[in-house]
Order: sequence, then C-alpha cells, then structure tokens
Amino acid sequence: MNLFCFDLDRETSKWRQSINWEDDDTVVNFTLTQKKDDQSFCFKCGVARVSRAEIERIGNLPQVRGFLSYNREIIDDNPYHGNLILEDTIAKHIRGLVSSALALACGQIIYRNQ
Amino acid sequence: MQYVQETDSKIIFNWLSDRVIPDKSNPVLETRASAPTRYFVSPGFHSGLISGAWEICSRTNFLEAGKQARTLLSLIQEMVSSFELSGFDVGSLPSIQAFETEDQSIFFEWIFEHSRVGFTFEPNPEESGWFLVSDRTLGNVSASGLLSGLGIEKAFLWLFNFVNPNI
Repeated sequence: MNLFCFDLDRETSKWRQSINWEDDDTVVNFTLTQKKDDQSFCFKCGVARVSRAEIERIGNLPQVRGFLSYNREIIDDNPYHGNLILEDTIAKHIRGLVSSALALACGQIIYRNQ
Repeated sequence: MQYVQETDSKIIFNWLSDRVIPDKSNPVLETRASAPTRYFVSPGFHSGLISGAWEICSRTNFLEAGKQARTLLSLIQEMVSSFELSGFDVGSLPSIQAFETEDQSIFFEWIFEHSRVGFTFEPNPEESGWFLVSDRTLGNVSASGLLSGLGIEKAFLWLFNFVNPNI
C-alpha cells in the first residue's frame, strides 16, 4: 500500500496526510517511538523521509499547482506534527499522482529494526 | 489487436492485421503448425502480474470501480502474455498493487525503480484516470489523463512503452 494515502478531513473536506517536521536530529527517533493509546507503535515498519524541496517540486507540477500545501499543527505531545494538504477540488487521479510522486521522492526509509 | 516491437527502443506498436511484414528467410527444414494463441498457452513468466490486484477487485464492494478495474487487469494480462508469446523484449515486471480508498474508488499502482504508473477507478467512469511519475533519473516526468476518450488499451500501451525500456 502506498505510504502517502491522504485521509479525508470531514470538517474541512480536504485531504490530509499527517507528517512530522524534522526540526532537529531527535525527530526520527521521536517518530519511531510514538505510541497509540493501546501502547502499540504508531509506525510499526518505520519512517519515510521526504525533503521539503521535493514536496514543493511536486506541488509545482502543472497538474498539482495550487492543490498541495502543508502546515504545522502541534497536537498533544507532538510539537513536530503537521500535515500535507490536498484541496478537495483536486481530480482523483491527480491525488493518486501526488501520492505516488511523494512515495517516489522518499529520500530514505528508516526501518524499525535498523 | 496485434503488436510489433521495435528492437532497439523496445517500443511496442499496434499492428493492423492486414499489413504484411516481408519475410525473406528460406528455411531448409521447417515444420509449420498453427500459430500459438495466447488463449491456450500457459500464462508464462508474468503470471503473478495481476493476481494480487485481481483478488482485491473481485471481492470489492465498490461494484462499478471493481468492474472497470477487472477490465483493465484482464487487458493487461492479455497484452503482456501476447508480448511474451511474440518474443518481445519485456523486462521483469512487478506485480500491480491495488487498494480501495475511502471514497469508493480503487487505486492501482505499478511500482518501478524510477517511476510509478497508476490508475484510479471511480464510481463515475468519466472520472477514472491514469498517471505516470518518474524520478530525476528518468527526467522528473509527470503525466496524467482520463481513461474515457483515450481508452484503456491505448493508455496502457503508452504507459508500458515508457516503463518497459527503462526497467
């Protein structure tokens, strides 16, 4: 399954993909050790790293321009949290294009067992 | 539909059956029989190409999307089998990945080292589409379109002709 499966935010009708911003060199470990309420790891397999430059390059593709944005949204105990956001008016196959482009742009995948 | 492949570029073309390719070879010893047909020959090397995706599309509750998706999978299997039987240069093709989305669509993703091909099948067939993205190695290509109008066979052949020479 593609890692970048945007979820529909029913309040805003926009598509969102949760991310953590890598503000410093502790964020990878922070993300890997994040746990759900049942104490299982949020990200069982690992984390994928994508540069902001790649996100902006994808956002500037002719089919995508104006539809992709990002924000920072601090939640609970996560000061790094943010979102990639797709406008609800984006064509569905372009949403797929964005997901695949992001997956292809992953500079590094850090697996849990490393 | 018949196909021919240009050997250097590996590009595959539709070939109208009334065209004749001159054959100047004169074999001394030859046994002729009926041409092999893809309907009666074992699936071949790429038999696992669509099986996983087919499983998902067969049991989906998204009826319209599932129907479109299965149509494409059947076409892909038939075309690739035809290419193999014809002795075309076809690289090692990964399996097509399929999954359902929360808005009643089915999403196909075909993952290569430097590119990804995708199809989305919607409850409204007029909204079903395709896309291609590549990384910097293959020029940061991005292309997309709707399946209506172009037709799934033409769309798939066009996309296949991008990925196959670059495997």
